[in-house]
Amino acid sequence: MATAAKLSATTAGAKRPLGITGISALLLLAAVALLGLTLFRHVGGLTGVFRLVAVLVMVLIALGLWKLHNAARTFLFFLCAADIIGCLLALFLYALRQSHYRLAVFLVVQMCISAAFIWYLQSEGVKRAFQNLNPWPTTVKMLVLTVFTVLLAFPFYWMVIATFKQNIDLYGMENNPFVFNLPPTLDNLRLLFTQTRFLTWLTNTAIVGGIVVVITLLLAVPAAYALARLTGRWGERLGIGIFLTYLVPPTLLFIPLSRVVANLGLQDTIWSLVLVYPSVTVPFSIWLLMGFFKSIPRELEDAAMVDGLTRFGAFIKMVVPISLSGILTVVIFTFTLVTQEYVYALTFISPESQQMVGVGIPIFLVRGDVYFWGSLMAACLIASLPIAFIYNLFLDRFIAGFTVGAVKG
Amino acid sequence: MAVGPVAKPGKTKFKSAGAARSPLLGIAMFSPAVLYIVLLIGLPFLLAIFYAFSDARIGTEMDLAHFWRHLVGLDNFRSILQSPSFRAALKNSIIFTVAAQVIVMVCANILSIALEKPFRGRGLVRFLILLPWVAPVSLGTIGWKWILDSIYSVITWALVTLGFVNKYSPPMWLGQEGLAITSVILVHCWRLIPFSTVILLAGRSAIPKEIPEAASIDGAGFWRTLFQINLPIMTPILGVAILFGTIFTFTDLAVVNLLTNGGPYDSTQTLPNLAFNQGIQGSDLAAGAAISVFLVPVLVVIAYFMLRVANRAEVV
Repeated sequence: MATAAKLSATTAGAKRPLGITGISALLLLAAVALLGLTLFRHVGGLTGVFRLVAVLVMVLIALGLWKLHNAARTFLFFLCAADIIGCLLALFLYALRQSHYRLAVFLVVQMCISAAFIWYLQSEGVKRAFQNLNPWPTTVKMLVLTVFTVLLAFPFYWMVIATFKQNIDLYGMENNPFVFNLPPTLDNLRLLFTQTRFLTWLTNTAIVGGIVVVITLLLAVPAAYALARLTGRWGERLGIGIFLTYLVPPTLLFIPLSRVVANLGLQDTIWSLVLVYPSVTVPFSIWLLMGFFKSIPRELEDAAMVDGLTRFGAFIKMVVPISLSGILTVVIFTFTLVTQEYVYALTFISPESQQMVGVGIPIFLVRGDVYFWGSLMAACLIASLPIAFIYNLFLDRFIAGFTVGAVKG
Repeated sequence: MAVGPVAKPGKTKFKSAGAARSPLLGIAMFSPAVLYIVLLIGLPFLLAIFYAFSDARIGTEMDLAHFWRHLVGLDNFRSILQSPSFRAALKNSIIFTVAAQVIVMVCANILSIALEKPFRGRGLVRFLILLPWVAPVSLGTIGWKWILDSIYSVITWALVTLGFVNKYSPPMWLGQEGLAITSVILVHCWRLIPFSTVILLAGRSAIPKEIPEAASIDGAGFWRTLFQINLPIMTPILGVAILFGTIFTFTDLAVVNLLTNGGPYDSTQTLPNLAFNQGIQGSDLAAGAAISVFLVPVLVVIAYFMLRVANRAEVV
């Protein structure tokens, strides 16, 4: 919107079409009316919040249109397009099939209004007032993004809903499952933290994650440096070879490794995972770090070595501090991989108290055939979101590792 | 990959003189990692193949000094090839992988085009879109298990409300053959679309801006630019996305194990799940190993293509 503001500032002299003035005035009036309705009718809870958000959006669009910001026009355009699609779906999937003719008429009228807005917002006069920008490409993109975001994030939204619902509401067949028919509750969370081993699983995961991170760093950092620098051309070959071992999946190795773990007497303890998890994390970490080390100019170590440091001293004192961001990436990658792993934890460990969070939740929060869905969803949500958030921060670096050099930066 | 100028083979000549001074240090630095990889990936890999030709079971002691006494030749393969469960598993593994890859590639391409240019709120949209990939797979799958529940499924509720299905004979999303197969494929897609999208985004950002611009000046429209310029440039990166996607779907245990455990009647059985059920839960290590060895050919093919991508990137 900042760029749009600049653009419109340059064309501040452009005349505001009468229709645009009308629409922003209309939106402002509607916003005030909705605000009044919400405040004086005391609509509480989520509905109230949604209405206040709607008021805010309407005011923003109205002000934006008034100032001739293209972003506001495109957003209104997008809302109208989305409204038409929604009305069409409701009309053909619901109203006509169920013979709700009053609703059908209402939907058709609403569609016509939206269509009129769309027609007006991209007509010649309005287009000229908005620097001749075409709203269609952005609108299509926004529609695509909306659909995909809703589909992809839906299960997590559903976890939130289930977490805070009362059981009577959750299992009420007649209730609308999308909303809270009874007030939200913290019972599911209380059950999760007091009656289950959820905290133990979280602790186990943290312990295993921490130790595996240390092991991975000790093995991968020197190896990556050696392969990137010291051993020249065939170091790269060996590096690719190590990367290929990342492709060997746990589902191929879990059967022999289960015997190895049993023979070492590590079965049913988290130490089996401490032993095995680096096999998942080390190859990819070496590959990631090789890229980082190669981007550091060699002159740096050469200078340090001229100053009297050994090769290893130069590595510890010069290279490692510079590559801290790469090392941090490996830490995050390793930790998230440990929390995401399923096969080994399921195979090696059976007692509830030694389990990891990724297996404990789906296996042990089910008593017999009874699923405690509220607590189950709460546990999934609590365990997923922090990991997802951290992983997201470092995503671009992992992707650099996955693209195997197919993208030249 | 951030490959600095030092990686260019032409320049390394005089600098590798410095490296040659300490080859022992180099070996000392990478040998622990290599040793670990050999011991915990290489050896188990060979052990898996050995088990596949042996009569190993949980509970019977294996005398490794006389391991040849346990070799039973192709018996395991003969018996699993005759079992209908295995044939179903092999077929499903391939179907799931191919179907998921096709859907994922179409969706990820669309999404990466929509996400390419920066806009307000892109960070939030990206976070939401990425959730399925970055959250632990078993937990996301449990989320789906609740959505696809036989009684409380929200999809069933919506369909009943809209009048598409009868309230008293609701669809069993995970209990009917066709629906269960569709559900498993969709959960795989749901999980992989974010991953492929970000891979393709990385590839897209590497397309030189001048080429599509020149094309549009020459009069190429959106579709022509997409199919004749962008997609050909992105072939290697599309390859990478497909290869990783294939591996993640083909070798995945969590989704099928948690959603259906192979049922109903092996209609969603996959190789990893069958290997787990027979090898670990059924204590028949040999049969489990023989089943999971069928993953190897696919892995070899993928490794071959991955090497080609890597080599090509090195040469350019």
